[in-house]
Amino acid sequence: MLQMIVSGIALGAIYGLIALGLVMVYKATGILNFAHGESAMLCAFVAFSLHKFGIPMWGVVLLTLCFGALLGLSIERLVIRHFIGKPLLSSAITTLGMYLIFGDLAIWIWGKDTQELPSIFSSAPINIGGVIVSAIDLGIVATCAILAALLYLFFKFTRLGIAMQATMENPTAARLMGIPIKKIYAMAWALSHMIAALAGLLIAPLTFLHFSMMQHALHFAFAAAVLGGIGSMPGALVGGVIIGVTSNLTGAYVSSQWKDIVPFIVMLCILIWRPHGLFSVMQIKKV
Amino acid sequence: MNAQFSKTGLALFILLCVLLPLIPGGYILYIFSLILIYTLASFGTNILTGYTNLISLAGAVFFGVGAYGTSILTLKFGVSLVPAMFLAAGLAVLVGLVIALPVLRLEEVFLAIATLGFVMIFTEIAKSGGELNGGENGMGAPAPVLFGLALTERTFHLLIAAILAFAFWVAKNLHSSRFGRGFLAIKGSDIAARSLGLNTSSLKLTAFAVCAFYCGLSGALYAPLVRFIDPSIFGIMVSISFVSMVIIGGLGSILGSVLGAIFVVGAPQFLTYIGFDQVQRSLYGLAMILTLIFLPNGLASLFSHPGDERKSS
Repeated sequence: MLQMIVSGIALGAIYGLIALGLVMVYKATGILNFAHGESAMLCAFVAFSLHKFGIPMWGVVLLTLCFGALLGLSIERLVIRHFIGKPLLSSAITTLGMYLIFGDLAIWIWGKDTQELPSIFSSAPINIGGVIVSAIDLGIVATCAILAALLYLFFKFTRLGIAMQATMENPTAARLMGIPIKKIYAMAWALSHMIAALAGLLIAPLTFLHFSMMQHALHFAFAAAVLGGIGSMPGALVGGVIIGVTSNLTGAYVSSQWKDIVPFIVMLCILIWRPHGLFSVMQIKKV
Repeated sequence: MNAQFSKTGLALFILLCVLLPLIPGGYILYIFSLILIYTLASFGTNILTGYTNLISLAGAVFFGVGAYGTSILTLKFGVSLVPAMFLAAGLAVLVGLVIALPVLRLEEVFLAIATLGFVMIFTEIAKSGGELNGGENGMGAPAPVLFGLALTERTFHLLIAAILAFAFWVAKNLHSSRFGRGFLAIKGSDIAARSLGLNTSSLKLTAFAVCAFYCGLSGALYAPLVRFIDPSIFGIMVSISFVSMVIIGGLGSILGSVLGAIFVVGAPQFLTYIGFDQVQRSLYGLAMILTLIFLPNGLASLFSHPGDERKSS
């Protein structure tokens, strides 16, 4: 039971990371990004190629994160910039177009075969107080915790982080305060794609490396983002963990067939209870 | 909006999409039958998303209920095809109401993702159907028949066109009815509509029901066209393609729904046809992005006069 919970938390933490990226670009630029999972997939494949060149693992991680940032920047510059302030659906369908392109790109470069990416962490089991957990799961949870702490510090104490938060809250006011909001939009995309790259690196050893590897995770990440109330970054991580744990526990104790849908049922129940997600603040609408 | 879908446009559509494909038949006719079927779903999605501004990704569920309903009713219960299709569409309406009830309070992204959850649930149920629908292996679908006469692909195409014409007429009239004005009021502002005394919950349920009927009927026609269905067909991509049709065509416009269906069904098939099948997906994606960058109000804005802009939105 405890083992299932720990591996559920690990899986959920990765969903949470992807959800975090979704929330970040949604808050900053108002765009629902269907291509986010595919970006993470591309990053994981880049890591795979770098690894094959014989670059040591820490170098692979560093270069992949840089690639993620570049990818985010170029997406923002080439496509997203045209859609800021446009209706939610037209930008969402645009990201769907990117989703199709990225899928093809991965097939052209890396083919349709399943590849393997070694984990950053060793796979040796560790015994903590009678509970046996794999070092991979523990490493994932630790990485996510460190990342969450870093992000917290970034948004709380750095100039850039505070400027980003201000832009997310109220772009007009932020602009009047002299914050270059276009640069902030670009930064948000870069940062969210760096996190996606990390998620790709973490999830690839758990699943497999394939052009369709992220489709499943993306659905869960959407559920996680919505569960947390799409405007909240901690909410995304908590949502991810809830989704991951329920999915794992259903898989273990009910049936593996229900594994994919019970998280959605949980999400629906929470949304019926709180229509704006768990971590949302009351929204007052002017008529 | 009604002026937008002018008589010339209608005549052109009938000529190009209904009559001309009858001549070559075969694969080209199949694609145009598919376009007409998707247009039907596009009308339904447009009523829900374009008129009422409810973003639903549950289209695949209605489509699937229509397709499975028709196949099961004809093959397992011996109902003849046309009544079975309308019964299946009615079943889709029931499913639509069941889906809509718990999510009525949700908005925008929350509504989209919650309805997406129902697609996952539907796919899983369809997979575990066992004997009734063949589970994951899928099932055969009935051959097109009308009044006991077997239909050829050409006559079936005409039957689809006739049903589409009826659906077009309903959609057009719905827009200027009491319901249509209610839908537009909700689109403008949910709260304002409620304070004016409109029963927004029942209006939203109606919009869901109409959308479910159109998408269900579209699925009911799809099954006899392709003759084989399995759960993987009714996945999230179908829902997303329904919404893409409406967005690429032009939200809230009937002409847009037609153009969107032609784009979403036609573009990938056309790219494959001219030998670009290696890059089909990405060219299609690129076309989507470019269309939305250069025509933010959809393909329909190509045909509208600048002064009409306010009316069509």
